[in-house]
Amino acid sequence: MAMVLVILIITACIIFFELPSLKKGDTKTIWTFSLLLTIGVVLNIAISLKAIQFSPLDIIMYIFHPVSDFLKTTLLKK
Amino acid sequence: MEKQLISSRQFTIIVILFTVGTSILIIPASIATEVKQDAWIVAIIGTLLSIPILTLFMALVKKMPTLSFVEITEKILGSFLGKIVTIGFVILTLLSSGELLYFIGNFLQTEVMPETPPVVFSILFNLIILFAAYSGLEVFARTLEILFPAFLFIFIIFVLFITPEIEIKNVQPILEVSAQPLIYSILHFMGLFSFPLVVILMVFPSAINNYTSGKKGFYIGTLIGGLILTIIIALSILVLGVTNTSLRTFPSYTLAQRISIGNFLQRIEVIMAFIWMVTIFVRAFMYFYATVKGLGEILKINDHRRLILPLGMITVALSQIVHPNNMHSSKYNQETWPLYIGIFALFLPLLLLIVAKMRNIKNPENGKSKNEDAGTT
Repeated sequence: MAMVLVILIITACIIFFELPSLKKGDTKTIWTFSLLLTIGVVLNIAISLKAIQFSPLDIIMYIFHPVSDFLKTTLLKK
Repeated sequence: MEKQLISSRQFTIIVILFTVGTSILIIPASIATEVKQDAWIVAIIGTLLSIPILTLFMALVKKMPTLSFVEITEKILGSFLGKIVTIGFVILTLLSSGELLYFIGNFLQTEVMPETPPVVFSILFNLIILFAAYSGLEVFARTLEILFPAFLFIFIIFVLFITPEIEIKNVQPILEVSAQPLIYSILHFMGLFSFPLVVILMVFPSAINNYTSGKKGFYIGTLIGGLILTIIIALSILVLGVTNTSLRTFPSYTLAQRISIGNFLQRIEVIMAFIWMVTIFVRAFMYFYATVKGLGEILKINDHRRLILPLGMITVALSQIVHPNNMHSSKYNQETWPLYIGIFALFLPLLLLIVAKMRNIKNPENGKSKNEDAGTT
């Protein structure tokens, strides 16, 4: 729980830091900033509460595993 | 943010340190596992094979020297398809940024401070990267101009102090490995050494002030980086032997621990850790800068610096989940990563060249015109 508070404090600092520059920006920048920030905060909180254990690289490995297995069997097993 | 311009000498330094990157720490182990004592041959062949890849990149950016890689892709493939491909590229660089932060945290926790959670190192390191990205490419290049002589000096001292411990019989018999594991290993080496150079296309040649000397700097930088890697791999095998190199996660760190001159020059491996942190920093910065710049160009955001802090949070989050253990990390880097980056480093530039040829796209001032046979009826 302490980590969640720390993450939220850091988020507040980020928003506080970026607020003047964001006020001058256009809507697209503000939307992208908020979306990315929300994703970051949610991810960090979920990881600190041990809710997410899986890695996005697992998806990449799954996509490529036919080719990588084929290369491994033909080239490494002689 | 105003346009960033760096000189070709600064660019050469960036290329050298980028290519050395994380490879200086992790490559000797996995390559030695695959081809045993011929690992240095893999490095030499891999470096030489990077030259055609660089030529491919040069051919791609020649006509559009003011655009970055993401802009070139969107220009050639059109708005819809281009956005899909560039989003894939930005996802690749974002995931790699997270992976590099994991790597630095893992390395520092394993070798230097075992009781600290690795996320602490990741956050501290990321703060430096965020600040560097905020300051821009020019500041980063100037910093490297200061760090590079220190890197070179420590590297030469390292090589000098470790050569007394060479045993030539460790590298014999030479060329014992057959062709197939050699090819696999070369693919693995190039996946970590040459293919990531596509990320440099985000700043080359759009941020270089002199295109011809920048081109030369690109080639020279890659060759020097390859030379440094070959020396490290060769030294690992010559001094530690094949078994010790393949068993350890970070053989170069073990090499540095071996240095012991007289009774007073010992335990200096942390100074060596400094040079590795420099190279990892360069690599992590380039990936992160490519992510920020690429995302800004996809979404047509004027000042991409606003995105730095949220993306920094995402990379710290990624660094904690990206690899659960070392085995997963080496499996990913050995099997999947060369294919994943190969798509964006080999397949995509070739595709872009072919499509650009077909659509007859010249430099930005002329605009683009489709082939005549499609228009005439």
